[in-house]
Amino acid sequence: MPLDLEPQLIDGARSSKADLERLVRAVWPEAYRIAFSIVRDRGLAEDAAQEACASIARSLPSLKSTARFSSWSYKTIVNQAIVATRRRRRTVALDEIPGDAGGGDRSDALDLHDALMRLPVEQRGAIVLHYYAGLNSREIAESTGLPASTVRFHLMLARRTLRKALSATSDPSAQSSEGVLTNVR
Amino acid sequence: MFADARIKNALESIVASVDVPPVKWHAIEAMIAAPQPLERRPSRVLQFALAAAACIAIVFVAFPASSLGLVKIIVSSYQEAFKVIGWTPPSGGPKTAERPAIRADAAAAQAHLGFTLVPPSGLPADVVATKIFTAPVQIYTKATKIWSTGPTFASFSYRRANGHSFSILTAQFDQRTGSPAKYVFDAQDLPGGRTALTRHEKFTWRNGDQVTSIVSGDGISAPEILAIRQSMNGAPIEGVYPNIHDGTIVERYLIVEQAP
Repeated sequence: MPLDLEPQLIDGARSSKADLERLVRAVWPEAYRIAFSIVRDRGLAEDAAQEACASIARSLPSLKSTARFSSWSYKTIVNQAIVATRRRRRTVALDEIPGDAGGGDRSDALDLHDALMRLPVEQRGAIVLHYYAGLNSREIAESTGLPASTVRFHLMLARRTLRKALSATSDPSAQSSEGVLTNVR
Repeated sequence: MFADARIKNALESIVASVDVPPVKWHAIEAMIAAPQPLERRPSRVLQFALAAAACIAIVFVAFPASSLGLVKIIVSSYQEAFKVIGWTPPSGGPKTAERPAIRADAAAAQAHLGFTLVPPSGLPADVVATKIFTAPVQIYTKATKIWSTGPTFASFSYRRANGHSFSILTAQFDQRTGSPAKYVFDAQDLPGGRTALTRHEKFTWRNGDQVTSIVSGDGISAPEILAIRQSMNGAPIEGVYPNIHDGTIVERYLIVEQAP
């Protein structure tokens, strides 16, 4: 994952300002990309990413294990993006999608993006943390303060929506949303 | 499952395709250094006044230039507090209030302002700048009981060597707001449902089409504010309360934080 940084850098950033700047600069691209993927507004994404970077830097001394830095940072970034979205909700038009969905399946990305932006922000955040950052429902629950069962419910609803968005093409399994709960870690 | 893999791949594709602007390290550095707000229960006055908008803090409210001779009093209720300061809370609150945006420096703030920014000067020697942010003014028109969004203001935050902080607000001059409020009142909960009402003196002056205001308190004293005003060549603002212009009474609110 992009936020799997060297333990030496994370440790160094606890006491060295130069290392802290290096760490923030390393986190920034991922923080902005994740924030923008959730808020779909460049100004808001920049604010959320800056808040997330500042929060990560401030809380770094309390991080018990450098091994947890990646998941801990993703939680912080997604939380800041959710807060930013709640503060200012807006409709996102399809033409705001970045022009180059480099590398992946463009049509899937477009379909998923459209569906993703229709999700309530809590579900959107849970999806990003689960599918992108690889967190399970318990870890997501820790960061959001919601019960794990509620997170699983959010994920179930979100997956149902996203699978429907992708089902128009070729995936027969997407027609069924039953049993999704059991598939959530 | 195949659908899960497609969701994961599509999501990674979406994230990877986002163009990233350059990191503004100095802005983030200032945010890291900025003192964190203490967790405290929002004032019930503000809850009452702006519950509909879920706003938890207001920089200043255009209270009348009251002739109150007190600095701090204890009153029996918040309704009593309203009577003391001669202010009627506005109905509801703004439907939307844009979140304050952090700006790296005065030049960056200027790009978002409709007036010519005269940055604060003449600050005490131990002052450290911590944050600059901009947000639109929220205007409440008493006659129509309607909220509207006004021009953008800029707030400059500073920290003193003794750990206290203060802010300097710069906004576009608005004739409708009439004479500036002379005092700001802070209401705090006390045991037994009582309210401590503290009066702070507020200093306001003009620099061209900019209105500059500072509230005295632990972070900055009245003589220090007057030194700032002198350094900025501030001019007095003439006007008469109530704020009547073209038959319209308005109050101006600078909302600096919103509850999630």
